Amino acid sequence: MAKLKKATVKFQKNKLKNTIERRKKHTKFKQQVNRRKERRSRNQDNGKADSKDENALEATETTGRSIARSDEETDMEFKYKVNNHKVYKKLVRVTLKSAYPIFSEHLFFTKKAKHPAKTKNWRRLEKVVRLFLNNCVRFLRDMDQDDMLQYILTYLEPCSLYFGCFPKTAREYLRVLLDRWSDASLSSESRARCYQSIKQFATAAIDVEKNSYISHCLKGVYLVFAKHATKMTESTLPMIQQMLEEGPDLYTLDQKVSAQHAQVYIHQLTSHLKTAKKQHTAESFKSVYTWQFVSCLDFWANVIANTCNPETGVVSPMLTHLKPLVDLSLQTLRLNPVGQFLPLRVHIIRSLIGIIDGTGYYIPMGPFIFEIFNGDVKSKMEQTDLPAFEWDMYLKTPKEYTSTKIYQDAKYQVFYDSLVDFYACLGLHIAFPELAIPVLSKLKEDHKNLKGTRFSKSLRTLIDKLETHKNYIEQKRAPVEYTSTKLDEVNAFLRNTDFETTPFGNFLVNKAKMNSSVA
Amino acid sequence: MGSAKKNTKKSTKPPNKKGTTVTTTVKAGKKKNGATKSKNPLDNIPDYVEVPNAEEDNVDISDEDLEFFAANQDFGKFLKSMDSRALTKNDKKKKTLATAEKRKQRSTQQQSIPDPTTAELTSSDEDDYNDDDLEDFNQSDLESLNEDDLPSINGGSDDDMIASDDEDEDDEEDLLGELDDEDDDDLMDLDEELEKQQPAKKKRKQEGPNESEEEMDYELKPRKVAGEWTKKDYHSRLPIKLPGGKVTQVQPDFSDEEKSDEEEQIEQVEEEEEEVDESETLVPEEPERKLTKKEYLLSKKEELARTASTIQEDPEANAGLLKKLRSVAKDDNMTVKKLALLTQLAVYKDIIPGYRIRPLTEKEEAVKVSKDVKKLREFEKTLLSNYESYIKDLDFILKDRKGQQQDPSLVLVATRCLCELLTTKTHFNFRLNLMVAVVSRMSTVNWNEVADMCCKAIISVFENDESGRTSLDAVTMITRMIKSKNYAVHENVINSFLHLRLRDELAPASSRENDDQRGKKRKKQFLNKKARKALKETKEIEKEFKEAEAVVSKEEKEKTHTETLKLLFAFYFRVLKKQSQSLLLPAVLQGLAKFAHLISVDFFDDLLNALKTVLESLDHKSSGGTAGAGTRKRLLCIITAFELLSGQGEALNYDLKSYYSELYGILYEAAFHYMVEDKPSSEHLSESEMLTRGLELMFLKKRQVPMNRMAAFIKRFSVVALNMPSKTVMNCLQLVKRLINKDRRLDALIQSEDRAASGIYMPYLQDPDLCNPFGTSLYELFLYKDHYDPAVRALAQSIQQPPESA
Repeated sequence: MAKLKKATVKFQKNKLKNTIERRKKHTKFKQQVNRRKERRSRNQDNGKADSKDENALEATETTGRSIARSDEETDMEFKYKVNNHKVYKKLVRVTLKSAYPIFSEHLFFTKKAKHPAKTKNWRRLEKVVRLFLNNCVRFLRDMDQDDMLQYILTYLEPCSLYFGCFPKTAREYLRVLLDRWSDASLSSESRARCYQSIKQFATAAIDVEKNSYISHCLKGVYLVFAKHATKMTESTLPMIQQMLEEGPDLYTLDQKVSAQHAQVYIHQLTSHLKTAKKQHTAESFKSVYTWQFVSCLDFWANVIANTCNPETGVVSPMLTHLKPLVDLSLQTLRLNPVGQFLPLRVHIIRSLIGIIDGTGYYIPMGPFIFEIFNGDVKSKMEQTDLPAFEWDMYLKTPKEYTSTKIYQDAKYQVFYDSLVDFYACLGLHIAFPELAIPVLSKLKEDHKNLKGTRFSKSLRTLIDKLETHKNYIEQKRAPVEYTSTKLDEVNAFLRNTDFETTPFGNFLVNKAKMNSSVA
Repeated sequence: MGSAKKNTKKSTKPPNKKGTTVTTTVKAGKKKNGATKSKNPLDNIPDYVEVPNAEEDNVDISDEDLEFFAANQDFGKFLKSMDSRALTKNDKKKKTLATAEKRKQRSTQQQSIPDPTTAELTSSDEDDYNDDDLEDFNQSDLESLNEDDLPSINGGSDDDMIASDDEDEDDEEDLLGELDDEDDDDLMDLDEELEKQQPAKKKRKQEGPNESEEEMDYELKPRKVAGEWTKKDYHSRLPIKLPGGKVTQVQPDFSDEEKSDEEEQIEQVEEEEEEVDESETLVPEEPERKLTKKEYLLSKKEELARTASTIQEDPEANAGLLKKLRSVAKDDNMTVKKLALLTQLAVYKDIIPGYRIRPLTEKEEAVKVSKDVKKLREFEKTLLSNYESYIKDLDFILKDRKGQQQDPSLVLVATRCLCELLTTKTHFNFRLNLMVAVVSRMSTVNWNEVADMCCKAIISVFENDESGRTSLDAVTMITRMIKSKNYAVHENVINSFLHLRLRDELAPASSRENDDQRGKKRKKQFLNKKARKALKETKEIEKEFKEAEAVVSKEEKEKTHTETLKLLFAFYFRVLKKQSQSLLLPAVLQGLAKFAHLISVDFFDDLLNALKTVLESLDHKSSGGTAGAGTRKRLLCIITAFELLSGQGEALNYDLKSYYSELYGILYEAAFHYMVEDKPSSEHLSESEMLTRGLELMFLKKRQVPMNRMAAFIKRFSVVALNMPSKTVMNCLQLVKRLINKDRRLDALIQSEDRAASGIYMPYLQDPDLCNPFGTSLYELFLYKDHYDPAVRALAQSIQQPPESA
């Protein structure tokens, strides 16, 4: 542990070396300022000064000094190696811990002054606060220890609102946060922490004109995501998936602003697709069939799934973007439907099913799902010892997989899963039997073709389950009266039924159990 | 052909006697009396009686014609030889430059027909005669060539055309000498210089092969060398030529030129692009000549531009220069050739008059005319002959592909010229020749750029055809071409028929007649005698006006349209009955559907049966998310059948059940076609559009359809459309809405309490009449109400809760 810390210190030394000179002068000046301020405040608060104030000012002093030390430390490194490090760490911790309580004590809000810059003591503390925030940002940028980073972020979070007063620092802060958020070398907890800070910053920081930084955050989050989603590897996959979860979450904060951003960026994607379609060449397809494009579609699908939840009962402004996005996705699906790009289509199908699941709106996915597995089982498949096919890792099927058994299994599996997911989303719908009519006949036809293969059994079960469920819904809806004047009853159809109690739901529960027990 | 030619030559002779044209003199001397027999009948028909003529007696007494003509001819011959001598002597140019001319003619003849004998001519008289001889030879040679090349022109054209062709050729012959005089003078100095500098070249040229196209390769080298020299000389000689006294015909005034030709410049920009390519490709072959080649091109370009602008400045005076342009087009350099072709195109487009030039009868020629008219006639003659040979050249280029490795871009350029001439100068002579050339280019199964260009030209001809006459010709030719190709052509050819103006202009006769009659009756009631008389007069005047304005009368138009239609349907039916496996079937079905209202009711039985057999013979396969070709054809058959019945067929009762069940099946098959809205190509309908069209025809246009059948289709379409893209869903819901509005009994589908029938709906049954659709409700609407597309949501809502009831 000590070794590690040493290394860190050394690393920091290197990093800070360039700034040392500048910082030294700066710090000296600041110390002077602090001292002067101290004196002044003592004179001012002479009468009312109580112990708390005294402490607070002391703490601010420490803050300034601690930061100064953090810079000077490298200089004295040789003198107090271990000791100094400990002191340094302690100082940082103490400063961070005490910063917000002290600030909040002095910069209290009244009815009139809701912005920190308008509070009574602001002028007095402004420079100290700025110093503190600046140093924190610097720390964040250079820190690469997960635990320390998380510590800083945790304690800095309540201070987010003070960033609003310093636009330059605020921008820097956001940039650093986004950098760290998209840093694959950090642990997922740290990134999650970063995201929390971004979220806090987006909501809390308000500048003098009462504009929040939310649109900066939204834009930054999306752009950073798009920047990092250009390639997919084993190492970046978890990070991108985390970003895919967290980024859209940010868009739930202020849906009006989100909708504006969504419009711009979805339009951008659409125009990309349009140009590709117009040119209609393999080259132009390549510009669309990229991880970036697909991931961005996924991103917006998540955004919409998160924002347009019917259970909230509020119509989100994001709903206007449902159609453009779905159309865009469907067009991408249809753009160049060759077998090679099946993984890409699987990605899009999944994200669309995500939208159905999240919003409850219907998107006709059936044909695309059936297209995944077109029953080409008869042709001879090679037996290879390749690892199982990971849909998440590919946009284009690698050549070595194309005619292997493993790939075919994977295809069947993803077909089966998508089908089940899709119909499960609509399982409680009154029109489920109608939806199931063509599907059942198609599945039966496939089943006939697949007779004697390893897929036959599971397909049979699926058909049975779908049929039972269809009958179940038909049974349930038969007594429901359906008139143009009285639609309430129909609209409320099975609203309160738990999906897991229905035949199909039950089947899914069992299946999930099976899977978890196997795993 | 030969005798006919001679006849016409004779007929042109008598006017020459008085009109005294320089050029025809020698030819007349060669003519024989034997040919006169066949000529008499022509003379007997007096075209213009009022013309007082020395030959007036001949018209009346046909028996005496022979003798008279024999005498006449001698007389004429005598006169003409006199004339020619006198004229040649009077001609300043010839007088002063006699020796030069001799050399010049030698060289030009070498270029056209390298005949060693011509080089040895010395005396000027002999020169004249030989010149003409050669030209005769040359001409007949050309003619025979052309005849070989263009059998289809004469074959395809009607009699009038042939006659005019012949006469045109003759005219050309007559004019050639004249043209040569003019052209050659331009070249004269040049050649003189040439010969001085390079005596060796002459020899080479003499030894050179005949002008036949097969030996182009062999000729290539020496010609190029010659070209270089010419170019150099040309440059140095340019200023000399100007004051050389070449009258006003050639005005190489650079400032004029630059001003006059803006369009030319535009064209040249295009040409230059091509040229750049050309020179680049040629460079690796002969790097030393790179520069000179460029210069050569430049000089040629300048020459073309100059000539073209001269012609455009005053076409009537300079029509002779057209031949010069044509001779440039014979150049071996592909770029120059292309440039020359394009230049000619531009020139002809500019100077061709807005009327068709009719060959003059002898009577007309015999009449003494004013100078202006004469000049005009000369111009017309020259224009015609040059235009014709230009077209022949173009056609030759296109036909010659097998003989030698041709530049594809040259073929393209030639096709472009033909197409543009056809579309812009449809009214002018040689339309049929152009059309034959263009149509024959379309006869490939593998669609290419050339064919596409031709097809577009034909389409624009169809669309711009006011009289219907041109369309008729084109349709005749195309159908004949397709038949001769054994129906192995691209469907685009057939699709061009869709652009015929028959649909709007040939409305069903009955309805229009009724209107007319009604209008007439009403008018008559209010007219008294006087007024009627006045009306009659005004009508007559109007008629005259119309004639003057060349407005095509309705009857005339109708007649040609009917003719066209007959051809068209004959062709369609033939394909439908005999070639049901042909690739042309979709195009034919589309055509039938488009012109369905023009088909006579008598054919309906036959046609419907034919469609049914075709329907049954097609396969059900689907591929790649859309219906296969077979299903598309089946859909087209259904649509065609119902199109047929939607107009006049409404009153008739046919058993259409098989069509309904067929569509019911197709609808179900389309359930998982995720590309259902994608068009196979821009001209074709998408599967979804065809389905919707078919259903609309079946239910909205027809009056009585069984209720159960209608409900079954509604139910099935809504089930199937659940899996379709939103555009199709919209179509489906709109159809459902209209049907429910049309027949309130269908409300039972959206209101469970109205449900009268018992039993259950059988979704998998393939018979629309038996599946009991009233056993269920349109629950799909709830899913459509949750559709991601707000438009679909709104529509579904409006179906479920009609606004007036809500």
